This record gives sequence, C-alpha cells and structure tokens, in this order.
Amino acid sequence: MDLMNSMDVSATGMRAQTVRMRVASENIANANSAIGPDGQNPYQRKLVSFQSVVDSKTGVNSVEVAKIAVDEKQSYKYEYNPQHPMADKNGLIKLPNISTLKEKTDLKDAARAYEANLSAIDAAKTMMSRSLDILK
Amino acid sequence: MKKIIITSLVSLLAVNAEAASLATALQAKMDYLMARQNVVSGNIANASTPGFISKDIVYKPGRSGGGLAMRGTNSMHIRANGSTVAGFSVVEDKTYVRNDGNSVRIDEEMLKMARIQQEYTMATRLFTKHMSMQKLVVQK
Repeated sequence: MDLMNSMDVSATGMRAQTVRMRVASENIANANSAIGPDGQNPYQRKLVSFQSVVDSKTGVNSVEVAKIAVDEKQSYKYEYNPQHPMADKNGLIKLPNISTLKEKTDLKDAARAYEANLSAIDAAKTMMSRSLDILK
Repeated sequence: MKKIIITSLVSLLAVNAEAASLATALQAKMDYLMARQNVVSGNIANASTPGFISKDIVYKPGRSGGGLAMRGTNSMHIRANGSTVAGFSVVEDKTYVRNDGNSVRIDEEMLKMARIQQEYTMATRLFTKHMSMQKLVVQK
C-alpha cells in the first residue's frame, strides 16, 4: 500500500536521527577522555552526515547515514593542570575537541526531528484507519 | 437535485471534471493525498540532510474536452479534442534555503500533513456517504 511507503520513509528518518543522537551522546560521554581509541591522542569529536536516497521503485526520498567522520578541523583543548599525571612539561593537558553545548544542541535538534517523523507516521496511520473505516 | 449536489461536490474537491462518478473523483483525490503524504514524509525524514530541497506534489486536473472526446487506450497516445489526463507534478520549494543547502521547514511540513489528513478524512467520509446513499437506493 502507498501509505506503507510513507511510514517506511519516516522510519528511515527516525533511524538516521537515532544514529545522530548516539554519536552526540558518545561525544558528551567522552568530553573529558584524555586518551582516545588510538591510545595516544585524546578522543576526537565524531560527526554524522546524512544522505538523501531516492527509492527507484516508489520514487520517494528516504534518508540514510552517509558516514560518521572525525572532526579534524576543530583543534584540541588545552587545560593548565600541572599536578595531573597526563600533563606535559608546560603543565598542560590535551583534552578532546568537544563542546558540550554544541553536542546538547545537536541532541535537541535530533530529538525534534525524531518527533516530527513520529507525527508523520501517526498521520499515515490515521489515514490508513480512515480508509479502513470505508468498509464499515 | 442529486446532480447539482454531485457536481458541486466534485468542484469542491477540485478534481477532474471528466471523472464520471463521485467514486472515481474521490479515488483520484485519495490517490493524490497518499502520494502527497509520501512526499511530505520524505521531506521530514530529510529535514537535516544537507543539500536537500523540499518537494511537494500539485494536482493538475485534466481539461475536459466537451463534446465528443476520443477515447484513448494508452496515456501516451495523443488525445483528440484537447482533453488531457489529470496527473501529479512534483514541484520544488526553494523559498528558504538554509546555509547547508536544505530547504525543509518542519512547521510548513506539519501544516501540510494536517491538511492532507483533513482532506483525506473528508474524502473517506464522502465516500462512505456515497455508499450509504447507493445502499438506500438498492434497499428500496
């Protein structure tokens, strides 16, 4: 049925926003990780990019996660804390390039987009039940 | 009287005047609304995709030929007497393009969705009414 496609599209949107939320949460959780996955440098901020995909059968635009890339442009933060075991000879600790505020905004935006997709599914559902009401 | 009501209903629905019965007209309307719902869902799903341009579907009612129109068996055939087939055409909305090249406005999409739902409800209710009227005729 046609309305099923509409629900599928909304579902792809929700899936993509979930990935975005997961990555934002990872960033917030690792905001103070002085040692990243490589064991050398601090954790680097990750960013999600979306991509619109046209379904050849139905012609509707669904969305998918194109890639999760590392933010190379933003430089690391330095904090002066000479007592810290991780501090270099100048007393500075290298910390991840994460701004919690930015991540929180991203998280909120993702939540709003998720809600919008949810209402789209609701609308399609209502339309479907209206069609079924004809049979009554 | 019945004819007047039906004609006014058909014009109210802004569907093809060629559509012989109310049922056909309502079906066309419902098909259109479903297709539009699909496009709106696509827009909402792509609300944060860079470079995505918001799309919408407009209903293009067929021009009724008047008089004797030639019956086409295939939509690709040239029609005599200028009657055209009703169809949808996709339009792009580039009114507000954000910095990332995306032009989806979620509030606008929500509004569209609410309207689609209302119109769909109206179409299905009219269809039910139409059916019950026919049933009434059969029963008598």
